Amino acid sequence: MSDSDVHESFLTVSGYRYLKIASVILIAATAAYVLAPDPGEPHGGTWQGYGLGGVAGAILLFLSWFGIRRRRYATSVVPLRTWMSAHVYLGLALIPIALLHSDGDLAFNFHGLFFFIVLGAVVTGLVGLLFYVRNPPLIASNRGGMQLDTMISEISGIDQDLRALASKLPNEVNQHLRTAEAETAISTRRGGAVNTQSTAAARAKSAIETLDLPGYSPHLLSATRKAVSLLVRKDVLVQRARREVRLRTQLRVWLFLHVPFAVAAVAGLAVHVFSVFFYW
Amino acid sequence: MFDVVIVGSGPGGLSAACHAATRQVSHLLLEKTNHLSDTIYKFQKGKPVMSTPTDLPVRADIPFGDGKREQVLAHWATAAETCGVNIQFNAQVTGITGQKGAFRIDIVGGAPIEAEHVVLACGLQGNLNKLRCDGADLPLVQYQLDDPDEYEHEHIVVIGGGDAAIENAVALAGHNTVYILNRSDEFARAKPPNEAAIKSLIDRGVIRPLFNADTAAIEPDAIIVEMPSGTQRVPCDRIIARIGAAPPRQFVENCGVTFPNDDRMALPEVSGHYESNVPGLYIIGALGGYPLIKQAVNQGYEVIEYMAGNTSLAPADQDKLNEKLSPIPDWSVDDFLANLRERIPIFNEMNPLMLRESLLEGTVHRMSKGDIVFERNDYTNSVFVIFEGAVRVHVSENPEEYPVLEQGAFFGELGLISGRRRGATVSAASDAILVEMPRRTMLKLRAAVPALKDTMNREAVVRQLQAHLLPNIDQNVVRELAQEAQVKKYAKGELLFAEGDDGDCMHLIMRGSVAIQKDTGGREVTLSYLPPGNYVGEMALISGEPRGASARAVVECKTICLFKDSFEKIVDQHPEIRRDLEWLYEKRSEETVRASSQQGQHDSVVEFLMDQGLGEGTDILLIDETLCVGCDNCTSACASTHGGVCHLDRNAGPSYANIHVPTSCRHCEHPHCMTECPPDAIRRAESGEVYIQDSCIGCGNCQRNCPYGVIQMAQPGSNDRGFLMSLLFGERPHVTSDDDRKRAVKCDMCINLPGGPACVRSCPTGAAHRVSPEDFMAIATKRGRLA
Repeated sequence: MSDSDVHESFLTVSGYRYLKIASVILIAATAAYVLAPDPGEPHGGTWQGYGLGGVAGAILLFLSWFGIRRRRYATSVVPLRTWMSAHVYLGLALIPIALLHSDGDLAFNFHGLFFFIVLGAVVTGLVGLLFYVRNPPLIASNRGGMQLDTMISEISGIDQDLRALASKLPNEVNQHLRTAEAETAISTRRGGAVNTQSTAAARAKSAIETLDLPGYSPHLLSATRKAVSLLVRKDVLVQRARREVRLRTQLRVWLFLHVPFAVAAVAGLAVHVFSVFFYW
Repeated sequence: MFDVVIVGSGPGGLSAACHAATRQVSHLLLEKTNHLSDTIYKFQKGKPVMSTPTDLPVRADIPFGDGKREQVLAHWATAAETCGVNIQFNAQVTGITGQKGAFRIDIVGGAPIEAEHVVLACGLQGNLNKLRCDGADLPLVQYQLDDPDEYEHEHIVVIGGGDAAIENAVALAGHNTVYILNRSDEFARAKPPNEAAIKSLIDRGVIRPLFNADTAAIEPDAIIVEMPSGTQRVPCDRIIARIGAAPPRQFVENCGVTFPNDDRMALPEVSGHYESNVPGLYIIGALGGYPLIKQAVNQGYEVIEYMAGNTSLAPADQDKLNEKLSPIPDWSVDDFLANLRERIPIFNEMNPLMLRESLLEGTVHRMSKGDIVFERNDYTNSVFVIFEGAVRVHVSENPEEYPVLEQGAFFGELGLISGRRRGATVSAASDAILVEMPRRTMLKLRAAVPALKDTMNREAVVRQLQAHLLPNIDQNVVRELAQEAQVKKYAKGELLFAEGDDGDCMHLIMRGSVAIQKDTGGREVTLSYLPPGNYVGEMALISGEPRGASARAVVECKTICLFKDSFEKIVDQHPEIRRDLEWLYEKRSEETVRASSQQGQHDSVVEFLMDQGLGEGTDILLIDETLCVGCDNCTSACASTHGGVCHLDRNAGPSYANIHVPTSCRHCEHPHCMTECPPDAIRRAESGEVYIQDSCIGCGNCQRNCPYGVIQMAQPGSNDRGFLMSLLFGERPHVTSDDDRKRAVKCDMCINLPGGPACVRSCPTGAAHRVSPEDFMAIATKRGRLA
């Protein structure tokens, strides 16, 4: 068994088959555009115009079918990652083909709007692709084998320990700890501004270090050290948990734009085709 | 003088009496107590009674079906009355003398009774094992528990480590302070769910254990217990001793009946018509070797028919058996069974009735020359015996060299032992008649017939040694070697041997998997993982050096152990064995060197995956965290293809080296869930999937038995939203079944879908992947390099 068979990413499915297919379509479309005689004025009535429009329309329909296909769990034999691969590469080819189809002529009318709707779907898709490729490894390395809910329960455990410890420490230390505890809280509502949050633990640490620590009894000193190390640990966990939430949110949030754009694009296609044939 | 006196009013005796009454045979039913069916009467209140074997029709004048203790007893009491059974209660039989036509039955406190025939249907439970210590006759000691709710706020000591003791202790623990007194510190004899239940109650401090304990004496308000730590006095209000039952041998022998051996649990031998060696004295039910209620009920009917001279009465299962034999219409059931017992050595020792019953669960195949019996890598786990003809085992490259198994041989037993796929294709070498026995039947027979188990195990050892260790050595020599070998069992985590030990034996792994570990700089490093068919410690036999590494059982393992001394003895006569083994050893060490040069984190990845059950799994869902976008399309796909109930929890479960093992079925080689399924609803498909059939009764045993927590109890339903609504608002599970009973659900690997598991198919990024043990070393190696 070769390494690639173990887990096959959607980008590399069948040795980049869909990248190759999309490239061939794009090259063929460019060739058709270049070879076409210039009709002089834009009217779209050429075989290249209809041909490229047909290809772009077919790709658009194929891309939007993904939304339905994704939910057909029982009936299809082809794995979804294969569809995903085709979706990504053909989607990337769509805008260049659409531009060739329109000869770069984007007027201030419905057809121009339609182009920007499609562009919106493709660009949001591109953002999604970026997140899909970039985020999973980041999440994996960020969590270091720890699940988000474990992080959060450890954070609240540290909070309890810190509070218990701080109550036994001199006021000067206690004060710093309490401020830092509040400033590193996981909820932003309590935590204050972003820069206060991110530096809270470090500030408390250095503030405590400037205190007259050598004058402390060994018992107090070790309790203080323990409190500081707990604070630092909490800070690390809070940063990690936030980062995970951010990365996970990114993986979902783009869909709230991508899907409406896609639905609008299909509707736009219908209007575009209808108006071209009846009113042009 | 009665035509027949029936001793015992349990299922067998009562059924016989009812039939005698219906047939107007003069009869008397003797019952020791003052009520019918004492054994069932003594069942815990509300205990469900199951009517197994399901294939066997009921043929009697008393009704019998699944139900609670109370229903069964009520039906029987009505039947006894309607039939007009002549019962004498409180009639304890002390002896039976005489012969056919003139038996004399002595009872306590009454005149002797005379009868032409006697039916012994007294079962085993009338002969409970009793405590034998001072004070055992005190009133606080009892041997049964009728209604656990009867007792509250008492201190109760339950004695015993079996199912009855555990069930009693668990039922009492709700309202009482319960101690369980057990001779050892574990409950190995108990069914796994019972064992789990008592262990968890002990861990939680609800039940107090008295382990490795013996009862020294009983006082009116306490029990004196001998324990390793010394003698202890445990004050208590009640002592319930559930320490088993045995055949009332003394009594039965005094009636003139002989036993086949001296074993305390041995049962008397009876003919096909239930007649003992004393003509006219019949034995039915548990005492005759049939512990199931349905069998006893049928036997009660049959024994009266036989006695009345209707010897041609076909047993209740005759029609079913005729159906089984439909592929070979020229054989009658009786001839076939007689020949089966005679021709197949492993069946020689079997009681003919038992064989009959087993055939009911088996399948008869007629094969033409060249037909395939099963294919290599099939997951079927039945055992075949050759009734007629011969088969070929496709083990080598050259069809000419295929070993041939002749009439009387058995094959396919490895599936039973190792739980792995079929090792080789088997085809018919000539026209053949084969009998296929399902795994459960074979396991039952192996437990019931020690000779069958021994023969099968011995043969399995020979075949394993031949197949994996000494393929070129003559079978008779291997047989000689096998004689000296020992089969050893290791618990999960136990050491087969430790690094640095003197090597005195080698192991061939039959079942489970073994990890080879080495101590490097104070850390245990796993060098390799070995599935069945591999061997460890062979250096001991070749060079006699100390062990170079430790071998540890990853899951419960069985190995064939070859000792150095006996090995040397045989090798002296057959030097070719040593040559073969040395050659194998060289080949192996080369592989080891290659593997260890690829070390890195490899070993810890292996360890992680082993802990997650890959050591015993056959197909495991792994998620690559560097690809997973957390879209949960896998869980949606699973729910959508399984009636709205997802069998997979993507987010739960541990991760290591970016491999995430979600909570999902591993399809174990020996599925833990299968072990205690009352309706036998959990099955393994030929292609390996372990799935749950509709016959699930929702008892939850499988859920408790699964060490990986992948089985849930749920109601079937579906997603009731269409595409657009799902898109906007998500899917909504909706319970569609009218049946509100929860059933066990687990991954069935989408056995009915053409494309395979929906979770893997519906992953948009390729993160979800199912692996078999063969693949996972590749994953470990890849991850080891990355980690």
